[in-house]
Amino acid sequence: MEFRDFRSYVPGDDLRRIDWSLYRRSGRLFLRLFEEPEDLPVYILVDISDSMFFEVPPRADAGRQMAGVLAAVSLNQFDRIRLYPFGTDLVQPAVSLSGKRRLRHALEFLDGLLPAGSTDLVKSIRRFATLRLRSGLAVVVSDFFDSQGIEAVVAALASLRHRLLVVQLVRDSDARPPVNGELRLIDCESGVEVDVTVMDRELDCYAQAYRAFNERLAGFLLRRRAAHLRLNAERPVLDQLSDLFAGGVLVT
Amino acid sequence: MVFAGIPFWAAAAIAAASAAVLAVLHLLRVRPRPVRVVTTLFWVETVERVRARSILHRFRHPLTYALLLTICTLLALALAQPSLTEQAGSGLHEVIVLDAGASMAAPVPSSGGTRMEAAIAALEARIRTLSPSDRVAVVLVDPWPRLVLGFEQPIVSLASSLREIRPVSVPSITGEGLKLARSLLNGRANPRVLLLTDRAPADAPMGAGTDDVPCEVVGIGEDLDGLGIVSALYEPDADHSLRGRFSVRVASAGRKPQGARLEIRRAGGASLLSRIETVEPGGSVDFALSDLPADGDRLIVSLSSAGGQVVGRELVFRLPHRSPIRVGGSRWLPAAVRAAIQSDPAVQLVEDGWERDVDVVVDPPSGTLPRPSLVLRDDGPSVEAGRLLEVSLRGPLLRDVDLAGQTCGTGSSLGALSGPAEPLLVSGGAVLAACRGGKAPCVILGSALLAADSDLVRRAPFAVFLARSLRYLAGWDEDPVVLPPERVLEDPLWPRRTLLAAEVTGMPVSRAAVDLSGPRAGASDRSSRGGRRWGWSAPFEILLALALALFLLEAVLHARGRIA
Repeated sequence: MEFRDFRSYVPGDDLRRIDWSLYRRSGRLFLRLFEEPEDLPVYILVDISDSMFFEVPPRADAGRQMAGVLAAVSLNQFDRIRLYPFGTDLVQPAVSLSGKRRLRHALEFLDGLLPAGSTDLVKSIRRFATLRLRSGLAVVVSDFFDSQGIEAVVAALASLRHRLLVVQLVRDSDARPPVNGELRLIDCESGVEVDVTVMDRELDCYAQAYRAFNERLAGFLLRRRAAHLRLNAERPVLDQLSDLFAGGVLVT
Repeated sequence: MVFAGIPFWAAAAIAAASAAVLAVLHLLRVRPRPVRVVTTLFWVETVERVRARSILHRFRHPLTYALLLTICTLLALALAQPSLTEQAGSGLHEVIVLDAGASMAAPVPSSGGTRMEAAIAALEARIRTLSPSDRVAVVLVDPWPRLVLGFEQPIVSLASSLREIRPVSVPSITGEGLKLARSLLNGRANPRVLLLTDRAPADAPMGAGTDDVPCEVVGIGEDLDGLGIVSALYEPDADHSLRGRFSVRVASAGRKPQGARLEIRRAGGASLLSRIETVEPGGSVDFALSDLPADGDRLIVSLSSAGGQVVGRELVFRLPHRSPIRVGGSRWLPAAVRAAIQSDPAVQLVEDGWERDVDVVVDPPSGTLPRPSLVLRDDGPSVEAGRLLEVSLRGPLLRDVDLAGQTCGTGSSLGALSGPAEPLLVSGGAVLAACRGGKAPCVILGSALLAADSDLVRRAPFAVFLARSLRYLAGWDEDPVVLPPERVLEDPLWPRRTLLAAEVTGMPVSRAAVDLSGPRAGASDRSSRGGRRWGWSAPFEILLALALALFLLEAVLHARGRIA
């Protein structure tokens, strides 16, 4: 316990924390504030499924950069971090690091990640939730394109007992893909084929579905009082982070 | 059914093959383009939403194919012009026989037109009363029958043919027309013949009116029972261009033979002909005057009948005007040359005073030509002045006239030089020269021709050549015609002999107007339908317009994503 500051007494405060010596000198009631140092465990779940490496530039680059930034901040505050890459499942054992000097190891680990199959975000999160870990901050970095749908993803996220930070990797083309005509769309992960004639009406419907997807995810996170970062994978990550942190979006 | 001239089964086979080809093309057209995407999560939802919203979306590919088939079918129908062949229970097959004989040129007082125009109007009215399932053919008899419109031809093409129809100058042979009609109807369902003629129904030939092919006769004009002048003609004599034969043709359209009295007189009053002839029904008689000079006088032709009516009772005819070619300089000419000149009856030799009032001058050669002349010499042509007289072996003056090798004085013979003019030559002097100047044109005969032993001038070809030259210089610019070799002289008017149509004046009595509303019997049931008969041209345009409209609709739907 370390002394941190004083503050004025208000009715209801604990009388044991009143600084009586200061009362004698000033005639006013002040409370002593103490701070107990605590190493917050930070669990960073990084999506390395095939969809993260599909486009150019790949979303995985932005995701790894974001994970590296969070690792640097955490290690700089003497927090312990654990990196959990996931694709079809959670990759274990996770890399556990602490201390400023371990940042290099964290970055090398992130840089060496390879595509790990299709996305099964639900399975990976549920597997993570079953781990007996100390309560901390869980950071999920993903595009959240799970074939089971956003409802299953939200349900999985709701099962986490950690504080939650969601980093959603998006692209400009996600809202309105640059496709047109008679197409057979093939999922890059599952190989599922969808025949569709893409015209304005179809693109409008697509945009509507994508908007509902985002609204569902954002609504859940808002109710959960979790932090939500939407990171554009086509723009520099650091520029976006400065904007996001300056705006006070990140709440831990 | 006949489709584009091929049987139905063949058309169906072709259509099936075309449909298969179109199906393949359609599948190739709508085959989707594979595109890999980061996720199909939202596309699945999009497709479900679109399909739930539009029923047509489920059938977009069949609809597109059906639209494509419809467009191609319409185009094929428009271009192939399908038609129904004769089958039991199908529409009427009618052949309309149109009489275009000489009497059809007679006027119809009630309508102001001619019987031919009335017949054409009746034909058009008849066609309008036919139903779309009926087929019609038109046979024109002028005087022999010929097919103007076939069963398979579009009716719209008939309009131009009708505009060109004119009555001929002789009676028509309607019996042959009915035979042709019957042959056209052979094997067809519901055959029928309609005869449009100005003859009385009782007199109309009923050759086609058999049990199988009923014939209906529609009378045009008034009930016919009279005579008429149908033509007048002046034909120059073959041997004498200044005289000719004048003939007047009188036709009868009555029920029985009639006596026709024709009188021809000059405008000055002198009577040239007055004769009575019997004219058979439907026939004609020619009244002719021979050896009539072409002096430009007017002839008054009057026709009267003993008992019947007269359609064209008076005719004013102006004779052509021709005067003889006056040739001067005859004092210098040897007898043989004079005979050659005088062999043409159109030439008149002027014994004296050859310098005045002559058309052509014939001269012997002299040192200095009296006027600008073209002289042909053995040392080549030299044109001193005037217009070149084309004396070409291939020219009209020497056509079918062979002068080569003829002895021409002192044993010399004719030859020809090559060149544009190819002049006639004889050694020692010019054979013939001609010139046109300010005065009368001149013919210069070479000294060799004037020699006593010249054999050439005694030959018929030389006379032909000389006569042609004189006519040419006199201004008779008619092209000489090719005549048989035995014809020494040719008639310049012959190729211009034309029919001089008569001016039919007056109608003695008024007659009942022709009923142009259509056939008198057997058509009331069809006319009551009131349907307009459509030629195939109209469906062609409609089908083409429909195909284009569907094509545009398909393009719009395809652009809006309603169809594949």
